[in-house]
Amino acid sequence: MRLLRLGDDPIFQFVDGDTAVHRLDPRTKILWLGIVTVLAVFIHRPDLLLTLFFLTLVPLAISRVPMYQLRLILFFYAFIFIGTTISQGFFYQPLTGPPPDVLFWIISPDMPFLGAFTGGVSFTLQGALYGFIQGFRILSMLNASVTLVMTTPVNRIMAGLRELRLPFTFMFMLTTAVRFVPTIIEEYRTIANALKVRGVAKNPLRLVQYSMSPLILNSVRRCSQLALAAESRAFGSLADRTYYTSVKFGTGDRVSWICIGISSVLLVWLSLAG
Amino acid sequence: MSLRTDPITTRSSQENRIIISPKPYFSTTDIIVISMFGALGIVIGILGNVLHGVSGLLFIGPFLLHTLLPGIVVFACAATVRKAGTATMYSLIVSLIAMPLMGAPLFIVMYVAQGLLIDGFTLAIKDRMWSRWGIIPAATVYGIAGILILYYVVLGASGLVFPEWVVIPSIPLNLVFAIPAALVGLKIGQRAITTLGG
Repeated sequence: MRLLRLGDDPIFQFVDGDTAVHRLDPRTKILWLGIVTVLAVFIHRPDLLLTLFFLTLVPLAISRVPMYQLRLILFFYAFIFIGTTISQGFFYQPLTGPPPDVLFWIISPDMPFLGAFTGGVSFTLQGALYGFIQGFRILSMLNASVTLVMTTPVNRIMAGLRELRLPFTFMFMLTTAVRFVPTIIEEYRTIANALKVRGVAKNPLRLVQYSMSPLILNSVRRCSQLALAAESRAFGSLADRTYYTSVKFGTGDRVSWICIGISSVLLVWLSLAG
Repeated sequence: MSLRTDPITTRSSQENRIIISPKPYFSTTDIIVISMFGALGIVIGILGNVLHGVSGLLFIGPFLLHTLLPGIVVFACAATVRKAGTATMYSLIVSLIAMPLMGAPLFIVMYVAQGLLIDGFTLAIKDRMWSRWGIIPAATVYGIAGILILYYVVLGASGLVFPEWVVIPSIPLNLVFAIPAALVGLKIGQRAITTLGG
């Protein structure tokens, strides 16, 4: 996943390795991501959210994340915690029980117009704590996503999706889109450099504004060549296809299914139990 | 929405080179054009999610990152291919790759719903969609649906609650970004058609 880099800052990318998580079938990791997303949405108890978060850390820990990726993950953790804590500190209102203790007001209820419109905006400790706990919900999904992306090369993810019976044309579109990403980034860099040389783009927003149109048009021009190349190779003419990459379930996958199954059932049961 | 591809055609001269197929199903070029826009959407989606933490802090963030830039690309894609199903295919590509990649799988719902709404408009008003007055209602629905799904589905499912006085002013503010995005997208789509045909 090295191709998914923006500028010089790496985004979560595939890290080659030979750990138990790396060897898993991509379908197992896709299943894990799906189950974690569903559980993260439906679990409401803080202790269970925390449990889910720690559970999602297990495959991540097994996959031996390199330090530079760990720093990136921690950066995201910090961003998410700060975002959820501050936003809920200001906006959280409990549905039942007494109103939360106000630490400070930024819009007093007495303020003309805004005070009446908003009913007052204050930062509350309960809200901040609530937001901090909700951060674990988002981080659980982030951990499951990162596990999939960092331990599975794109071609295996595609093979996994293919085995999940997604239509071939859609798979082709996904693969082509992923293939186009570095081309688009390279194209953007060329256009941005040209704009900088002409002194047009000192403002980053202006840079995006002026580069969007040539970026899309240059890429569209390339599309027609690619379409001709695809058709000359008889794209779409054969119903049965063969594939270079294949995926297969192994013992590790079966063990993972059992672990995922047990932990999911336990979490759902504890969540329903109250 | 058919995913059948165009049969192989022999193009003997430049004059016969029909790039965007007028047929109701997706031609090879349609598929590749959607993929290319999908790639651009992935880049923008990743950027959006990288800055998502900031967007939670700055009020203007969600409109710029989740409406303006993705709006330009999705409308440009739909206006280039001009077939029902285009926006949904684009949205699926972008959301299935970019959102799990950045740890935000809940955004898949928002992208797919917006894609379906744009395609619904394409089906309902057909070629009138590709004019200023056709695309503005679609952009309005896109903008309203986007902000409601963002607050009530994506953030709601994440456990984050926002009072109505935040959601209600966000709707017109989001439209301020959604409508220009659609108009810019339409303009780019028209230029892209000229580029492909020329």
